[in-house]
Amino acid sequence: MHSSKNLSWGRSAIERKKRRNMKSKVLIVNDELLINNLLETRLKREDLKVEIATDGQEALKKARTNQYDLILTDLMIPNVAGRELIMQIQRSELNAHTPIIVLSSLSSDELIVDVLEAGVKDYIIKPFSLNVIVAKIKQLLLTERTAA
Amino acid sequence: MKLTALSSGDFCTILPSEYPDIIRLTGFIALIAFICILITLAVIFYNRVAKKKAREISAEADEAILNELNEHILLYNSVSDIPEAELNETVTNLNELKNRNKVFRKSMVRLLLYFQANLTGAIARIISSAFSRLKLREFTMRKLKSPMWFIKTQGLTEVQEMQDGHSLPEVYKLAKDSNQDVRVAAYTVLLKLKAIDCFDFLDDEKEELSEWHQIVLEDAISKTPGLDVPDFRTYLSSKNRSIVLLSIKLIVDFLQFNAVAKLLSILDSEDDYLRNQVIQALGQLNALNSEERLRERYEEEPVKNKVAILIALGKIGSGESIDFIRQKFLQAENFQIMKGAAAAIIAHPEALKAKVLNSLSDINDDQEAVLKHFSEPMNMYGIV
Repeated sequence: MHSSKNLSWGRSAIERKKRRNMKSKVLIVNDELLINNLLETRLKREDLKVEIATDGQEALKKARTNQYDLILTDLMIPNVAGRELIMQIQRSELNAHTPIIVLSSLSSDELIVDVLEAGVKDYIIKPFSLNVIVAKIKQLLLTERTAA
Repeated sequence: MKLTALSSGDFCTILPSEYPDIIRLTGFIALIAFICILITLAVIFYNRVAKKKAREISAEADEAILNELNEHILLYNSVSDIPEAELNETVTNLNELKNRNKVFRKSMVRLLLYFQANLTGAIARIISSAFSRLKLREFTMRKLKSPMWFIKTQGLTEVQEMQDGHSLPEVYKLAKDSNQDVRVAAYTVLLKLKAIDCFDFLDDEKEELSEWHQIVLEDAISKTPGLDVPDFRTYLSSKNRSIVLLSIKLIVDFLQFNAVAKLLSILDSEDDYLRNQVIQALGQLNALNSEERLRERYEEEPVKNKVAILIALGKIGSGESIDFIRQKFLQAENFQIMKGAAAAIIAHPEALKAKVLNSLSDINDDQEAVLKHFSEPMNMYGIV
């Protein structure tokens, strides 16, 4: 007779296996449509699912209803932005532990330190290398998957 | 009453001839005004339709060009990774799009410039290569030779973004243009491309540069990696005040500490704003040997410069001026001075700061609130 503990462990293992086999889902939060377009095309070629939010409110709405494997966000976007956006994403039930990468043209040391201390995994300053950002995303997703 | 028809040269026939002339003239003018309004509305309507059409064509152009770029060019890590056949086909398609009409060509240039400005590394080189292969440089060269100053500046921006060294001879000519916006844009290109004699403008520019021009040039100089910068101290004695102001900013950006003595000599200038900039620079350079001079000058300065002196002393934070700052805080003649002194106290190293704050036991609510404000880490960004 199986104990309830074994059953729930079994279910989590099945879910973990399912998630390992599913395509990783990335949320891009940026109001620059051309950059979004470029990143989306490139990430889809890397076999990732991509969703886009063009402002902070839309990003929070998506973060509260969908689970993502990684969130790539700018800091200067309409409505909810910057550190506040990051904190609200981290407070959401589904994405409290989702790794976040910031992609921004803001380059002051104090701001970067502040954002990294808020729990962001990486901070990339624009202009950026597309190859590098894709490599960082893939590496982070792999690390998270292995940890899971 | 018979209405007589309008005839050429007969201006007052719109109303019956029984009416006085003045009424008839007024009627005529009203008719002309009505016709003018109709024409204006027609022009506004036509412009709106034309602009809508232009936006649609532009959107169509953007989509077609982006499709080619995203699907065939920007996905590769370098030009050599792109299969020869695909590259040729893509270049052919882009050429066809470019030659379709002016809107498509402008769209292509705009998109390539956008990606060049926002992307670095291999992709940026691919874009540069695409710009070259599509012979878009020819259009840039035409812009540089345009009689319109704003077209020339557009061309200069394209040269800068595409890092087009071949266009330098034309850029040097534009550095002597009669229009200052064109000259500043040309200086910026020469700096960004690290051209020979790119700092000659500091000697040659006779006209006062606006604040905006100074910001643009400072940005170009301080953010171009590998630029061989001169000793900006040389330009502190320029007759062009704006060059002096720019040089002060650059001395701080490049931490040219050997300029401190020369900066101190500018404190004798009669120009309040110039002295203000020097005071700020001394603080940012942590010029320890300037503290005494700043304290001496304090009483002679206007309020804005007094605040700058306090903040500069705070940034230097050696402890030598802590009693001076404390006194100014407690006896501040106005709120600006109190704020400046509070910021200066908070900017000091922890031990000194704590010592001063502990000694400030008998302060009023305003003073306490100001000190608390500057103790917040986010508020310290302006003074640290």
